[in-house]
This record gives sequence, C-alpha cells and structure tokens, in this order.
Amino acid sequence: MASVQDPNRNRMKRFINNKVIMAFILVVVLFVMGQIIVPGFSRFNHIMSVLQAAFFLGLVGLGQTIVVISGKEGLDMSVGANVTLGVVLGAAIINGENARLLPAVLASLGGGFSLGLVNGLGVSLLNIAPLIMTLAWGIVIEGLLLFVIKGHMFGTGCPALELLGHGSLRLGSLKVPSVVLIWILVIILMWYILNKTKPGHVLFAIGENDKAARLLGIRVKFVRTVVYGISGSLSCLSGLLLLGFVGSAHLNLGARYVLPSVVAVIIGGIRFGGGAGNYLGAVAGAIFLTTLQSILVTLELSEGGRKLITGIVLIILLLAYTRRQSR
Amino acid sequence: MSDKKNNRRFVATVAALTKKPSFPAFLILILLIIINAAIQPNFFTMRSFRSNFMTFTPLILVAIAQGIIILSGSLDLSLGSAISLFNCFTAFYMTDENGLFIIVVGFVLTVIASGFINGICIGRLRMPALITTFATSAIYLGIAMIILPVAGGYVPRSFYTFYKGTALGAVPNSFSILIAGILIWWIFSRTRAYRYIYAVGSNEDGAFASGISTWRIRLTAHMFASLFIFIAGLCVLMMTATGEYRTGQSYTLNSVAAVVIGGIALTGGRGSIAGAMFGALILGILNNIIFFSGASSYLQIFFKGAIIVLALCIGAIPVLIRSKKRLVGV
Repeated sequence: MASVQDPNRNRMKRFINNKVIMAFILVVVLFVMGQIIVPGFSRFNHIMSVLQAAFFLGLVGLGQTIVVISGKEGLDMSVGANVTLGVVLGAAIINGENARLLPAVLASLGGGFSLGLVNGLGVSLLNIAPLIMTLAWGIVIEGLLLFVIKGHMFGTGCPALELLGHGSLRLGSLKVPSVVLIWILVIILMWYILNKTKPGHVLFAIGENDKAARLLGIRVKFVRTVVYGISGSLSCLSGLLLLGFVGSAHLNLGARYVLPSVVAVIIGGIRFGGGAGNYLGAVAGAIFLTTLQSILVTLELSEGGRKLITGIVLIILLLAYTRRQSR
Repeated sequence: MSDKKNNRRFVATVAALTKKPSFPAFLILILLIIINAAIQPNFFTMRSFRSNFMTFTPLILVAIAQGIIILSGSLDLSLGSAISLFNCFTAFYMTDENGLFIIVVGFVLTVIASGFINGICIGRLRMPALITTFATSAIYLGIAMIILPVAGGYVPRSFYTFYKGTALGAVPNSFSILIAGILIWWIFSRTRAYRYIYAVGSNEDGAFASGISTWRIRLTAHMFASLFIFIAGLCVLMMTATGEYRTGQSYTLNSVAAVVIGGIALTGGRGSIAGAMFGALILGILNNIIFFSGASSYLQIFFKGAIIVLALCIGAIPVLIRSKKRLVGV
C-alpha cells in the first residue's frame, strides 16, 4: 500500500528523476570544469560559440527525437547522409548568389523529405528494423552523392547564408549568434507542437502503442512514414545551414552527426521504446556533447585521446542514468 | 508404396525449409553465385576460391559473432573497433621472435574488451546495448589510435604467408580456419547455454521467471562471440599484414547487415546462425560482382547500399505475407 508521502519529498524525487534537468545540470558542470581547466572557457561569448556549434547537431537531433518518439525502435541512421546532401545541394544551387537561397532551402527540405520517406516506407510498410533500414539507405544516398560529385565539389554558399550560419547579433560586447536565435525559436515551436497540437499527440500515441493508436483511427503507417520524411528534411536543412557555418563543402561533413545525434537523444532521456520524451532533452544532449568536444580540443589532445575520453564519459553517463529497471 | 512415402517426406522437408527465416537469404545467395559465376570467368577455380575465402572468412566469422549477440537480445557496434584494437596492438608489438606470445596477449585483450566489458555493461549493469557499445567502440578505437596513429607496425612473414597458403593438397588455410570456427560454433550450439540464449533473446522476463540467470547468459553470449571476433581479427591481421586503426571499421556495419539479411530478428531470439553465414556470403559475393561488373568506382558504394536495401525488402516480404495471413485468421 502506498503510504502518505511528504509532497515536497515527492517533488524532489521527481526533480532528480527528470532527465532533462539532469542533462542541463551536467552541461553546467561541464562548463564549470572547462572554466577550471581553461580560464575564460565560460565567458559569455565562448558559451555562445559552443551553442552555435551545437545548433547543427541540435537540428539533426530534432529529427532523431521525433523518430525515436514515434516508437517501434525508431532510429534514423541516415541523418549523416542527409546532412551531406544538404551541403552539396546548397552549394550547387546557390553558387554564390543570394537570390538562390530560397530555392536552395526548398530543394533541401523537399529532397530530404522524399529521401526520408523511403526510410519510412521500409520501416512501416515492410517492417524492416529501423536501425538497419536507415543505415543501408544512408549508404545509398552517400553512394549517389559520390557518383554525382565524382570527387570534386562545385559551388559555394552566399553572403546571406553565411550571415545565417555564421553571423551574430551584437549587443555591446556580447555576441549572440543568429543560429542560437533560430534554435530558440525552433525549441519553442517544437514544445508547442509536441505538447499542444494534434500532430504532437498523434506522434506520442503511435509511439506508446501502435494498436491502440490504430483503433483510435490514426493512420499509424502513414504518420510513421511522414515522421521519417521530416527527419530527412530537418537534417538536410541542417546541412544547408552548416554550409553557411563552415563556408566550404566537403563530402564527409555529415558522417560526424550520425551517432552523436543518437547519443544526444539518449542523454536527453528520450525513451528508446518510443512514446515519451521531449525535444529539450535532445537540446541538452547536443550541448553536452559539443561542450565536451570543445574542452577536449582546447586541451590539445590527440584524436585518439579525444575518442577515448568521450567514450569513457559516455559510459559513466549511461551507468548513471540510462540503466533499465533492475531486478 | 514406400517410394511415395519418401517422396511425401521429401516434399514436407522442403516445405519446412522454405519456412525458415534464413530461406530468402539462401535463395538470394544462390542467385548471386550464379550471377558471379557468369561475369567472373574463373569463379569455379581453386585459385579464385582461395582468394575469395581470404576476404570471406573474417566476414563470416564476425557475422557469427554478431548473430550470437543479436540472438541473445543484445547488439555489438564495437566489434569493428575491437578488431582495429587487436590489429594495432599486435602489429605494434610483434617481432619475429614473440609473434605467438603477442597473439595470445591480443586474444586476452579482445576477450576482455569485446566480451567481458560489453557483456557486463549490457548484461549485469543493464545498460542499453546500442549506445553502450557505441561508447565502448569509441574507447577501443581511441586506444588503437593512440597505439598506432599512422598505419604501420610489423607482421612476421610466416603469418601472412600462412594465410595465403594451402594445406592437405589444395584446401586454402583461410577456409580451414573458417571450418574450425564453424566447428567451435557447432559444439557450442549443442550446449544448454546456447538454448538459453534463444530463451533470453525472445522473452527475457519469461526466461528470468523460469530460473535462468539472464545476465549471465548475455555475458556468455558476448564472451563466446568475442572468440570469433578474435579469430576474425587474426584473419584480418594476416590478410592485411599491417596495422591500421581503420581496418576493422567496415566490419561493424557489415556484420549487422549480414545478420539481418540472414533473417535474424534484431529484437533477438529468432533466426539461425546459418542465416547469418548466408548473409555474410551474400555481402562478400556482392562485392565480387560489383568489382567484376566493371562499374565506375564512384558507383560501387551506391550499388552496395542499393543491393542491401533490396535484400532487406526481399527478406521482409515473406514475414509480411505471414503477418497478413495471421490478421485474416483473426
């Protein structure tokens, strides 16, 4: 029998169990550690530049978030290929002219969406495991890009795109990068869509229980297919903005976003089985991973050392709070 | 009379075989072998058999390892990095004198890294397999990169000439290693632990309720698989005859793809190791076909991915038909 509990204690417990808050606390801890190791690490402008770098992972992580929430062990491992597609499409279409920015945005949204749909069709109609379906389809996209490009990239971004990807708003000596502002808008919008609108409720419903959702009259397969399409277009858009941030395009820009986007989602406490979680968690995860990388880079560790430490930190994190219910 | 009976029994056996989850993979494999033989003129010669199995053997071995792990309801994305770590470690420390000793140390290292640590984390500590092995993969790869940041190292001549060589007249040594591996798996498949792997993979709670220590079974699966990862790593070392941290990476995805194409469910507990072996052979022969078809080197990656997707779709159709039938029955 449940005894009467002190409501304050209950609230405290819920607070500690809230993985989103825990993830943000971890980010703060990381920044404090960074400040101790490298004085000046937690200056406002440096925090902003870390957030700026984290944005691209965060946007890819948004697609990953809705795919994971949609359930059925949902995962999108083709995000990397879609990021690269966005970079390549953007460079080829814009080619230095501001006027072609809008067509490029539309092309990357449409291209990513249609390629993502294939993932969705494979997962929901043919019942192929998402992990392997999206991995294989990612290889197809990468192969296609390699064939189209044949080793040499062409095209560049344009000043307007660079302003979007790399520019910042100056407030005295404080610089707020434009992508951080975009990110805040995206976060508010996503919170609203996931919690207050019908599409959000439908997404959670199919993630929680396929059959129940179907009995409620939701077209489960259709929704799940579209979710993969949206994930594709978001990563493609992220790639386009990345072109503005990095300045030049190359073919392996996307690969480094695949597994980190999954890790960000998990750090953010989004349940792998689907049906639970929110985007803020993935935001915290993305910031956490980017901050960690930033600290390791400033420590001037070799690539092997960075990988080793990232792995160890991840294991510790996983040990701390993603363990399944123990017996 | 008895002829008719035998006939009926034969038909029944064939019908049972077609219902196996590995059957689509088997059909695809036969088809691909025919295509390969058609475009590669000397496919059925001992020479191409030997050179083929030099690359097929490690692929099949990692597929067996991944198959056992996935059957137990787990997953190993660190397998490629474990091979890289073994590769860099042995190539860095080996000299002409201490070759075998370093191999033994490398074996212990592989079993600890890939078998024990992964097994304890996923089994005992109940961490999610996908992401845990991603993290351990970063650790193993990091250590490999620290040991050998650039390709190099030394592998004694006797090692790589052995792998290229033949024994007992014409049997390639690489093929003998594969047969030895399959034999080890076959012996293990007769044990009780192996049946428990299926039980834990298909229904963990049920297995636990009937008195199986589920975490020990998961640990066993990982430990046993690490033996195959070690043999595969040894083959890769002898094949490439050099140390590089990138050598192992492609095996991770290939092993998962082989297992899925072979009809093993990623959720665990369903499918057979034979299917995983078919899957690995399919991938190996696909590489041959793409190579001999003379396609532009830029198109090779595309074809590889497209054919894996195609194989996944073909593999999915029988399951789909069966589930449709079940729905109608309800």
